[in-house]
Amino acid sequence: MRPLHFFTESIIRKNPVFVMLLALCPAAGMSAFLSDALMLGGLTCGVLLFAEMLMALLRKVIVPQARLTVCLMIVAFLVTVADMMMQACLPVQRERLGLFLPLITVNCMVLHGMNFAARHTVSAALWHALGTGIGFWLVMALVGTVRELLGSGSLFGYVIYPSQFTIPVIAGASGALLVLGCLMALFNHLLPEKRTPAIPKYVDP
Amino acid sequence: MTYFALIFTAVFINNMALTQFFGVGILLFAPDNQKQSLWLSAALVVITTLSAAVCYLLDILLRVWDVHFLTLLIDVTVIAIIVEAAVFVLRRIAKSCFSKKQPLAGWFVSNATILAAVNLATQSDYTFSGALASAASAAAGVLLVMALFTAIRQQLLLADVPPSFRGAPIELVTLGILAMAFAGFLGIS
Repeated sequence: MRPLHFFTESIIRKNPVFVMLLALCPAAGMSAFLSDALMLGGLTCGVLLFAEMLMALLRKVIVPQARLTVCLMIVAFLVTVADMMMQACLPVQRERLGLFLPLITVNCMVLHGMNFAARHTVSAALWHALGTGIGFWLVMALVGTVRELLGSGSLFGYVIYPSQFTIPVIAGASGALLVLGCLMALFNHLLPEKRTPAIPKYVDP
Repeated sequence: MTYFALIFTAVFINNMALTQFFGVGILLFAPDNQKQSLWLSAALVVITTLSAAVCYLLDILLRVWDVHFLTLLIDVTVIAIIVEAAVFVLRRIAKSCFSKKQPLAGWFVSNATILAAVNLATQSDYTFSGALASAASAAAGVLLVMALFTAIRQQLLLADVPPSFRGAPIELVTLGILAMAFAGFLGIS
């Protein structure tokens, strides 16, 4: 299979959130405001890219028994680097991300990507990481737009319509899950042939 | 009284699965079987408590040596080791419940609950017992939601759901409505 195939496949047909049901925790938790959602999506995408590259490079060295631990350590290292860079360059945004930044380490999507990288060449892993990252980033953008527009009546912090017409539930905890569920249903409705049956399957690298 | 407040807050008000989303991902991947999901979430409570205990002690060392930036790396390694050990034990105890091929370590690790609970327990100026109580009750909150969710899921199988909502979407909407119920607890705090 050509490496580029993994890129196109993982954006829509194997979209990490809507089809594979991975990374629901950041998609629900950090999407109340569009700028936060885009920031977390971008960071996750970057970490995923480097993590898959390292894993694919090291795949022949790591014994299968230690794979899970090693792969977590690689991601934890990259997340620590990302965290320190954020603290140095964008401290305000770092504060807003809170616990969700360290939690990129145990993101199902990243672990799933590592699982893929352990079985493929470097170029395939890179294309896969890029596709998955962009797929995730697009979902974050979509969920963030819907939630900020309906929940707070603004976009990127700029007020679009007055706050008495907003639906505060959407900005809250339950609204995140409702919006995500409805968007997922919309995705299934628009692209029924693209949908792979959503069989919950957790990964074990 | 303070311990009661701490545990009640962690289980109901700041529920890990429904108000903070750290446990949402794993709920959808949880087995349909009630017995299996209870075993898994009971193991989750044990793993979280143990990891919080070890990480709390290591955190003191890291502070003494002034290498606090290593926290994440150390925490994750500790969690990975404890998870592997716990899965080994779990397969022995509940031999009839899980098949050999069923991946369990990944389910626990890709579960943000453990890392989030450990992080909150070690970074929030708790005493040792307070940290343990907060970690254990955070995981117990996930256990509670998981028991509720597995029961609701079995009812969902009988319901006539529109085709595009079948599977994960309706489960997310269900969780959203459950989260609304949990949001009611906010009034107590």
